[in-house]
Amino acid sequence: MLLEVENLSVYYDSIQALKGISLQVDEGELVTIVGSNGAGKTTTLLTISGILRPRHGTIRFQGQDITYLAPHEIVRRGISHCPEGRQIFTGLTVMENLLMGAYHRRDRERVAQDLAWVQELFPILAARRRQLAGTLSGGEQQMLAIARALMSRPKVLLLDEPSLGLAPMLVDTIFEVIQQLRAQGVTVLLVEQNAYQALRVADRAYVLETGTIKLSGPAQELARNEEVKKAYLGG
Amino acid sequence: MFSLPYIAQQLVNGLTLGSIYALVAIGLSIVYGILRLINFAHGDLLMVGAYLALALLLNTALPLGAAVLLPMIIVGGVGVLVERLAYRPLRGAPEVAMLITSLAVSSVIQNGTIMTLSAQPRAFRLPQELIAQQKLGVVSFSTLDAVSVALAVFLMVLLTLFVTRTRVGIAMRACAENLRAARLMGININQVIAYAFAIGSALAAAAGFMWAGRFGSIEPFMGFLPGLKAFVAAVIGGIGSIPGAMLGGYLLGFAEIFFVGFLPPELSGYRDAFVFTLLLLVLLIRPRGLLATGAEREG
Repeated sequence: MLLEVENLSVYYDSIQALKGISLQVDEGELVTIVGSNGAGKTTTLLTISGILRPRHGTIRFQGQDITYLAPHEIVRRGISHCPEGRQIFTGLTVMENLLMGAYHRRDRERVAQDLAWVQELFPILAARRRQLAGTLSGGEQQMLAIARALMSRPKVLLLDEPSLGLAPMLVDTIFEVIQQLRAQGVTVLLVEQNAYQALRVADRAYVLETGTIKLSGPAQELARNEEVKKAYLGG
Repeated sequence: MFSLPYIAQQLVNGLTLGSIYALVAIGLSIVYGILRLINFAHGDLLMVGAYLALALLLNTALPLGAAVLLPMIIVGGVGVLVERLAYRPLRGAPEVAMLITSLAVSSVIQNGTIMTLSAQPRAFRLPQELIAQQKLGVVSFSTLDAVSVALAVFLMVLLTLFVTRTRVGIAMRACAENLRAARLMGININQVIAYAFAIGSALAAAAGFMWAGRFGSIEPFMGFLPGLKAFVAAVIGGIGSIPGAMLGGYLLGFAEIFFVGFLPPELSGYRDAFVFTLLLLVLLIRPRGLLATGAEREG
């Protein structure tokens, strides 16, 4: 098991956001967490990344306990987080943003290779690499956010709402890229409100509701589940 | 009304004073940019730098350059230590907690200096070659003024190269814009914050030498005024922005000199009131400063 979350409870002051959830991600898998706004999806990812501290529970990565490591240590071990709302550095150039994604890496040659790789994945970034990231369109910013997260050469990529606020055509592009990544062997844990698209591309899925996991299983099975259809797929 | 040479002379004076404000303002601005901390102890590091420079000038036969460089290195270290001991434990606490702590740090540094060295002002005597007056066309200035401006510009160029060409420097800008995203990218923010304090404090020490040389004496509370003025400069320029701090520093330096130099002498006692009026005017027109970048950070 590559990533294992066990009985995780997270609080914001006295409000419990996660009520003992457990989930696993295996190497090469594309796993998605679907659920409505406020269900705890982003909280889950932020806790895995070490930004939030759980009150109970453990997070194991490649068999090692990483629950209380600093965020930069977690990135170093191979977990990369592409946050909700893109959060690119708007005052830095596209290239500088990409280099920040590879901040901890000293293997210059490989970094150069990965720069070439992400620019191949997102050709628009190559064209705009000297531009300030704040001047990019929303879709381009999302691509930059994903590319930046890939620059650490993660063993697991945590993707938080990559389709949020994008035009339908761009949503398709983003999901194409996610499938492409998966085909290239990148393990992905995808958080999405767009359950239809997420369940279509994922191997397995978890349905998160008010801090607990309601359902889990192969994505295609969940997509056919009556409850899921009613709650998340518009009937 | 005013002769051209007189105006030129005032420009030179403004440039000298502005260089000092700019150096101090940069330190305030980079720390604020990352931590949202208004570091009230910043001016006191300028004072520590001046005392160290004096000690080196009086007690050692080291070249003059060392009396500038060594205090910069030591005070840079002091800045890192202060962050580690006083501010880091408060990371994540409300911003006001760190603000109050910086007042306490300021008080500790000032009173520590009084206890160990006394509150008596001391003469800050520079070697003759620095005091010598130079004439360039119609304007005159001391060698110290020329050295101060040149050193300030050199340090600012160096800093600009650092934040645009180096990994840690770019990370510093990234942290100032979005600390959480920077952490998610694997940037060790403690390391970046330490760099920010080291650089800011070292620049304050350099400014301390210039300030002390300008006024000829030093005392434990000498950091207050340049610290306050530099804060005004940083806010005028857009606090958090390095180019803003530079611009604000020079603007303030020129404005202050021009106020004193071109208005009736009986008004010159109001120079500080004038400085704050200028701040209010700038903030009325551009509430976040002249070169403010990015959106105000949430949470």
